[in-house]
Amino acid sequence: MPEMNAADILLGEDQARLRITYHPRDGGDAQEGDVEALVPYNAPTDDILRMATEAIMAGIPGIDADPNPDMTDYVVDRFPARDDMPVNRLSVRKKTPFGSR
Amino acid sequence: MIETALVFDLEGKTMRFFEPPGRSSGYIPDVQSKGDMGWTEKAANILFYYVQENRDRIGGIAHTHPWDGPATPSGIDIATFRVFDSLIPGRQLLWPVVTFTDVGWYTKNPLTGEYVAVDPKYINLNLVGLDELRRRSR
Repeated sequence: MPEMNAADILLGEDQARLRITYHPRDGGDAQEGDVEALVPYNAPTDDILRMATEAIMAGIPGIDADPNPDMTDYVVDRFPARDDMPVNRLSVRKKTPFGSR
Repeated sequence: MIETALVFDLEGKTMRFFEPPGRSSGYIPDVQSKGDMGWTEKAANILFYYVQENRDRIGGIAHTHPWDGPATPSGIDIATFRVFDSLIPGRQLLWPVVTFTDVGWYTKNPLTGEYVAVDPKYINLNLVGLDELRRRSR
């Protein structure tokens, strides 16, 4: 999957590309895809997770539609635009701690 | 004493240690980027992306329970095992849980989906970084 395309050049400072790595409820292989619509980079975490949930319910390229996705333990990473990647990026994925807490 | 993680390759060689801030004797936290790192730095700082970007080489992840005695995974550990196994389908990843006296080898049963202990005599790799992992956990 390309990291950037020509349309990314037109992204505003407060917009971002949202990538989701989703683990289906049945324990199947992880699926990954970019939401086609731009999202606000500084949106609250809960809002971003809500957008991701809606995207998974509808299905996006790389992620099969799931009408009832389980978003337990999903987190949002924020990556601001920099010289080596001049596009704001958001990533929704499952957290991976170790331990007994 | 502090929990530490070690990512190893298909032969058991050390790929890297993960020692994020906020670790304790009973926890290795998930690191999240709040805007303090760039997209191309994510694999260097966040275990999830390191595994995702190096999935072709990964044999498993060992982590310590920094005390003496038997080594068994917690519920949190197993939930994390599931995430990474889901990222690397088709490979039987190994999940060593390491105390100062024991190593418990775990893997996902492909038929039941449950995590089960593996008899060490069936482990075909040499976990090269085991001593260093324990040292970093003291």
